[in-house]
Order: sequence, then C-alpha cells, then structure tokens
Amino acid sequence: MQTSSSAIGEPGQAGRVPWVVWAAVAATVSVVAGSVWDISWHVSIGRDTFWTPPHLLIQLCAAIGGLSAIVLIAEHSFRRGAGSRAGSVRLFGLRAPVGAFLCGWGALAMLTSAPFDNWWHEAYGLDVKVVSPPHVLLAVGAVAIVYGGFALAMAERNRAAAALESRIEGIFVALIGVAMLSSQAELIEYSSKSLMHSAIFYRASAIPFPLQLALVRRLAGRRWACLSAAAVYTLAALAQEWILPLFPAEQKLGPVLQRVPYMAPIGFPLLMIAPAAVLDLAWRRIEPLGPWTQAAASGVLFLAAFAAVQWPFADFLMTRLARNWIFGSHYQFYMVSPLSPAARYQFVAADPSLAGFWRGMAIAAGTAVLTSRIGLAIGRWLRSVQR
Amino acid sequence: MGGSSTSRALLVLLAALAAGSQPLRAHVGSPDVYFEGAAGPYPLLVVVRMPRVIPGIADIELRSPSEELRSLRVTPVLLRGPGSELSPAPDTAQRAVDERGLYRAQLWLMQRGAWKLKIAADGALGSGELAVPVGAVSTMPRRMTGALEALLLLLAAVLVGGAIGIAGAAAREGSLAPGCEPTPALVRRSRRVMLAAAAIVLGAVGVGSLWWREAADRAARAVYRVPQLQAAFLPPRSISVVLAPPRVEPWAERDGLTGLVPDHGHVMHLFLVRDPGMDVLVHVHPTQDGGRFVEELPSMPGGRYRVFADVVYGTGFPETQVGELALPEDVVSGLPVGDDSLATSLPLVAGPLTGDAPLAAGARMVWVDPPDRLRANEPIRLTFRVVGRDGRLVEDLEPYLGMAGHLVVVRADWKVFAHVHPAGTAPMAAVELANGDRIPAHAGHAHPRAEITFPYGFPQPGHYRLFVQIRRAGRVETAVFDVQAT
Repeated sequence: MQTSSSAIGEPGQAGRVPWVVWAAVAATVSVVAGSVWDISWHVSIGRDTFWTPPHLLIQLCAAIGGLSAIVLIAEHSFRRGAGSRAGSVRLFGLRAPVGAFLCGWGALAMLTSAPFDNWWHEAYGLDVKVVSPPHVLLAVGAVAIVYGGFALAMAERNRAAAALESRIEGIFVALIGVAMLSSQAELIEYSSKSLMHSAIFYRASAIPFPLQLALVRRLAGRRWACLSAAAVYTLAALAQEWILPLFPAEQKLGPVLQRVPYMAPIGFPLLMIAPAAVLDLAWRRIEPLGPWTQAAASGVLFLAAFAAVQWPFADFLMTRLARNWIFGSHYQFYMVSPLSPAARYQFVAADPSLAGFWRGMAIAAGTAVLTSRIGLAIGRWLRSVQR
Repeated sequence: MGGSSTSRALLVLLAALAAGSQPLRAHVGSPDVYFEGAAGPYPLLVVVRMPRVIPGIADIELRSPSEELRSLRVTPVLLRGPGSELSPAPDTAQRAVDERGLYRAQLWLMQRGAWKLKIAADGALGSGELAVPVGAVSTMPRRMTGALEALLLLLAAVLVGGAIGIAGAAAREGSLAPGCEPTPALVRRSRRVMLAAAAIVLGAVGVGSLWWREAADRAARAVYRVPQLQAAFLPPRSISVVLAPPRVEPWAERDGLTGLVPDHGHVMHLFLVRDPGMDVLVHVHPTQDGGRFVEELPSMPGGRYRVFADVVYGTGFPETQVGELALPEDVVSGLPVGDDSLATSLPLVAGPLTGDAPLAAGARMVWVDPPDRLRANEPIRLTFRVVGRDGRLVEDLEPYLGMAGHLVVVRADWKVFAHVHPAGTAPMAAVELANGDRIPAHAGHAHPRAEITFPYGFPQPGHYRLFVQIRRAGRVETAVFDVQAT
C-alpha cells in the first residue's frame, strides 16, 4: 500500500489526509501538552525524574519525529524507481521531503539535550530556572520537529486537490493554535498578572505570538485564519486552566513558601482573540504591500490590539470576581511568597519611570514587527514547499 | 566549545587556590555530616553525604540498631527564615539490602545555606523526631570528561552541518514541483542560503558558548571558599582575631551572615595548632570587643601556628575560618582558665602516636578497638575510655563545654580540620536551633561516663592527628592519637 507521501507527483489520494499530517498533529499536541503539564508539575510538586508523564509526552514528540524521519528517509532514499526521487530533496546522499530532515534533525537535537542536561545538573546544580542551554537545545529540537511536521503537511497540501488542501490547511491552523499555548507556557516567568501593566509583559508577548499569527495569516487562504488559530489556543488554554486544578498535588521540594494542594495551571488565556481578529480584518489591506510593510503593519496592529484588551482585562483579573475556577486568579505557586505582589493581587511597577515604560513598549512594538516579518517569511516558505 | 569554558572555570579556581583559600566547606575539608542521636526511643547514627554542587541531591544514611523501628521519613527544611515553616512532603527512607539496620534516602537541597533534616521515626515503641542541621554549599564544579565531551562535540558538529545542509536543500529543491530538476539559479540561491544559515547557526553556537561560559563562571564564584581570618599577636600575651567580613557572598543565597550565635556560652571557639609538628594545641574562647575578638593566651611556646575559628551564624550556618599566627617567642602567662586549654605532645616527625595517651594523676585514655584499616568516608564510631591506674573507668569526669568530650581532627597537610562532639560534626548551637525544645540528650550530668564515642568519617586518605579533650578536676586534659586513613 502506498502512502500519500510516497505517491509523488500525484495529488493526495482523494479526501484522505496523509499520515504525515496526523504525525505532525500527534507530535505537536504531545509536546505542547507535555510542556504545559511539566511546568504545572514543577510549580506544584517541584520534583521530578526523567520518566514522569509530562516528560514521557515530550519524549513521545521526539520519538514521533525521529521515527517519521527514518521512515520517510528510508522510503525515499532506498526505493527503486523514479517516483521516489521526485518528491524529495537531497541531503548528504539521502533523499526525503524537507520536513523529514527537519524532524530527524529535531529528534537528534532533543536526544543530544538529554546527556547534556544531565551533565549540566551535576556541574552547575539542579535547575531553578526554565531556560538553560540544554533546555534551549531541547526546545529548539521540539520546534524543529513541529515545523518539520508543518513542512510535511504543507508539502502535501500544496500538491493536493482543493478539498484536501482545505482540510489540511484547517488542521494546520488548529495546530498553530495549539503551538500558541506552548508560547504562553514558555513565557510563564513574564506573564504573571502582576506584570500586565508593565512593558516587560508586552515585550515578552511580542516574541512568539506575532510570529505565529503572521505565519498562519500568510499561509492560510481562509478569511478568519488568525481568529481560528486564536480560538483553538483559547480553548486549549481554558482546558488546562479548568482541568489541571482538579488534580491534587503535594509539594515534594523545599523551600515551600505556600501550601498548594492542587496542580497549578499556567494562567487564564491571553486575549489573543483581539489581535487575531484585527489582523484578519486588516489583511485585505495589508496583503498587497511589501513584506516589511506587511510586518510593520501587523506588528503594530498586534501590539495595539493586544494591549488595548489585555490591560483592562488585567484589572478585572485582580478583582474578587476573577478569583474562581473560571478565571483562576486565586491559583498560587508554592515557591512564591504569600507576601509577594503576585500573591496579593497587586501590580508590580516593573518600569523605572513613565519614560521607561514607553521605551519598553516601543521595544515591544519593534519586536512584534521583527517577529511578524519572520513569521511572514516562514509562512511564505511553507506555502511554497512541495517536497 | 565547552572544554575551553570549563578550563577557564578551573583557572579561576586554581587562582583562588593559589591565593591561599581552599575551595572546601565549613569544618575545612570535611564536608559530610555525621550525627548520633535518637529519634524518640530509637537511637540513630546519621551520615549525610553532601552533593558537590547546590542545588543538588544529598544522600542520607540512617543506621539504627533498634529492632522495633519500622519506618523513617526524612524532610529537608530551611533552618531559619521564609521556607522554614512549611515542609515539603517527606520521603520514606528505603531499607538497605546489603546492611542490616541501614536506611537510605535522597534529599533535594535547592538553596545554599543552613538547612535542617527532619527525621521522623515510627515503630513498635511509638514515634519520635530528630533534626540534623546541615550547611549546604557548592564545591568545585565537575569538569566534562573526555568521552562525554567528545560525544557532544560530535553531535554538535552533526547538528550544525545538518542545519546548514537542510537549509540548502530546502532552498534548492524544496519548492520545486515533484519531478523537476533545480536550475543553476536555484543552486546559486541555495548556496547563499547556506552561507546565511551557517552565519546564523554558528552565531547561535557562539552565543550558546558565551552563555555556557557565564554559567561556569557563576558556578565557580558560587563555590564555597574557607574565609581567611586575620590573627595578630598583641604583646605581651594576647591575641586578636578579626573574622572575614560577613558581606553577601556569591556562594550564599541570602544575607544573614551576621549575628553570631553562642555555642555553649562562647561565640567563638578558637584553636591554635603549631605548624608543622602539631605538637601544641591551644583551645581558647575569645570575647568580642567591637569588630574583633580578643583573648589572653595561656603560657605557650613560640612558633608558627595555624588558626581555626569555629562560629555559628544567626541562620544556623556553621563556619570555620582559617588563618595563621606567628609568635616570635614563648608567651609567658598563666595556666589556661575556665574552658580554655593547652596541650603539648610529640611532633609529627617523631612518629605516629599509637597506644594509650597519658593523662594527669596516672590516668590514661585508651582508644577502644581502633580499626586495623581505616577507610576514608566510611562512617566509624571512635570510642575512647579514660581509665585509672587500676584499668577501670575513672569516675571524676566533668562536662566540658556541656558534653563528655571534644574531638579535634587535623590532617597532616592541614587540608582537613574538624571539631567533633559525641553527637557528631554539627555544632551544638546549630543542633539547638534545629531541634528547638527537643535537644537530644547530651551530658548535663555531674559526672559523664568516662567512655566517649564520636561518630565520624575521615573525608580523605592521609595521616590524621586526633586530639581528644576532656575535663577532670576542673582542668581540661588532652589526649593525642595519630591514625592513617586509606
């Protein structure tokens, strides 16, 4: 039986979504779910081993990426006949779709990070922070697998007939929404509600989200691409906000500054719905412009729309009305002191002065423009990839 | 990449070593904690093997002869300050299969500073608790070994080459419809893309390398260095000691290195040991006078002395500071008074002191069952008996600094100095802070039993001199023994 990806030159079999698309879905969902769960584990229980369930999910992503790469490389490199060569690119004597090499690279990077991380802990101590060189290597590997999956899916979609093309595109838009949840998780040190009236929060948000929204806007043809992705992100974020605290947790790592008997979720979804809708609405005007102008417009619109809604919403999050299971303002992390502003529903003035705040917001705008440009470029490439 | 940054970290440390300070821990060179006490009705010997770097995992060994003991649960908690009130979930120690009565557990120490290990015992005789104070510091970071370094460098090369190659392949053929061949223009474009990718990837590697170097430097700065005190002779017969200033050290997680806590009525226990023979030991208790500690010395021979000052900070963190003192000539003074003591013996070069140590009034101290082979890091109970001419235990032992005896352990090359009590290596001030009202039994009796046991483990192989100090008839007496650990 030939799978769609090896039936090169022919459009995907009528109506059937190729297996690589589902592999991309599985890899993306497992790494995002694993990352969110892992962060919740670290801020609620504190201690873990290599084999905890969240780690297994992350390792599953590496396994899916690596196995898909091996299967695709083997199929395309060693099958006889012209058909196999046509739908692949050549690298170091091997042949496979670009996405397959990306997935293989990502799996290797994730594998390499394991002994590296182990040595890092023995030399410099167990991590207290999320971001260390071995963790960055792991994240880069996971991103490579996710985007490798996107490339495989898009290669299928770009060659597929209209109905299948639309289905794959729809799956992809949803996956971007899932990826936006991992962006919120990675930003956990900067996305406390106490920081939502400071420039640092917007500077941090301007790194991943404009890129993802610009990417999906550039790639997808449908009218409400960004809004759909943002809606999926919002649903996924609400799911973790409502489901995680249902599970009990016991702190296993000191120092413990507060008792937290539940698995703490990472926070109510950021209101990405607003900038997403604005981007979709403005796209018709923006699309005919040059890429840097597109980026400038998208970046600035993103920041303005996001700040306009998130700022007043942060006020609401600080009130008593938000301290319930729906909005989750009352959830705490055990290593945060009960006397800290975050625990006392107070904003932190992280900017040294008003001028400092506006300078920070200007940097946020610049960052959003830059990351939008990168997102547009990736979107354009994914639009064009055929192998 | 990594090798050069760890080499640099090592150079920083070697520089520190050359400057005279040693990257060792409190007690100087004796990092593991030995403690003997009881959790309720269950006697316990506790050994804590500290990790090389904090945050890290310590291994705890708990030994109890009690047959009725059913379970031991351990929890590490900060000794003082925020984080000391709430405990994480306890870990149940696992029974060892290789040794009877031995339980093992692992403790996650996430912060440098003073901790207490809460031990909860349960069994047929009921339940009991014991807290062991522990000072957590980092020592030398580990250097990446050859095999791992080679493997990671190889993988890094594959990843870098792979990234550049994938970028080129994507640019050359990725957007071509299946079946087409790349045009020369596309091939040229792919070469430009590969160059750009190479710049980006190698730039990322460079940034990563700088980041690694910064982490290595930070870890090297966080290594605990034994502080140097300043000791000066004030003619005709006094000594002044100024401790290294209690600024916020990079190795400490917090401020709080201020305010010394008295240990049995004395804020500082000062030991002077003559260099190189170790033939004179002076143990005095200077009093604080402004920013320095002063004390009148007893009559003692001149010469070069190594100085060790034991203190306990308000957070419960114990520390030994080291220094040197030169006495140009013999000090003419009185006999040691109160808790102060002076001891003389044969110098190291005269040969190891084995056998019984002579004491006043015909008594002698006997080391009970000294092992034939003393292995480094093996927990051992050093037992000494004070016997009279008739060979029976004397009955006139008095408490010295609140306990039956004190042991001072010094390695011949000065790299190890430990001050051990019958309860173990923890200073009593820290033990009191850790246990609050439930102070484990220590000699408050009028006449402690003349058989004294110290739990200890020699941290490194080498030649050690042991000084055992007791009090009889109002005077402190010292017995000296030499031992070799392998």
